[in-house]
Amino acid sequence: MLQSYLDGETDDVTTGRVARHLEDCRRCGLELSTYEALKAALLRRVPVVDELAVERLRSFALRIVESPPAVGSGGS
Amino acid sequence: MEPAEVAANEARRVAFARYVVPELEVLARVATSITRRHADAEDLVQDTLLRAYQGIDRFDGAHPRAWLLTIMRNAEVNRNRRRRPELMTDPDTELNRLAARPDAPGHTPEEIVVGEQFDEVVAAAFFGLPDKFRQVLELIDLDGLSYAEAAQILGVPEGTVMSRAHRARKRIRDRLGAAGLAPRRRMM
Repeated sequence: MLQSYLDGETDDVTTGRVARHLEDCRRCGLELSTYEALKAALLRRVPVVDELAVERLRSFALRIVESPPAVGSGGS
Repeated sequence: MEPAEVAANEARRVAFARYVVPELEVLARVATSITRRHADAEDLVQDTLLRAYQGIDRFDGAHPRAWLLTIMRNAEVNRNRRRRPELMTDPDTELNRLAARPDAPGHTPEEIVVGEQFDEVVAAAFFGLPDKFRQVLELIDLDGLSYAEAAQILGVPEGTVMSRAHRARKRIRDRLGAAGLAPRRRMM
């Protein structure tokens, strides 16, 4: 439940209930802080995307816009 | 070229620039997460972009990211079908096996000790996760996808995404506990 709350995946009622619980429960507060720190550490440590590749893909997308490929009956 | 055809091409170009191009970076991140190799990721995004262009006439303009993730999912399934008939172990079993390994004894701090060592333990535990668990965490924590979006790209139910993500984080969190960098867990 705490992890769904952390991910913003709980509905409004549950979000409110968890938030109220966290005001009083030190153990759950600490647990949430641990998961927040874990998430932040992942963002610091794990390379997300190759910026040069994104640039190349941007050029590729631009070429599609500028000189579109023929559209056949295929595709998804 | 017929005027109707010119107009159709123009509409496609406008729609592509409006709905597809803004999602490019997310697509690149997700492709990296699901292929694990930058070269494959780039191929997959190119394939997705071409398919998106081909299919843009049939796109209603709602939820472009979800639409693009479905296209990417199909493109990836096709690529894998061409390349390797998959021989996968069940990731849940794999994680259970890993989790059964006893943790090294460590002291039990009352607080989280964040720092260089914390980051190292998190990274090592993350890279040690079974592929399917690491992938889900990557899509959610690093690429910023929702559970529903991650489920879409992986072709699994949303509940599976949730359970894998939670169990993967618990696994990392237990490593932190064992290393004395987080309180040991005594709750569900």
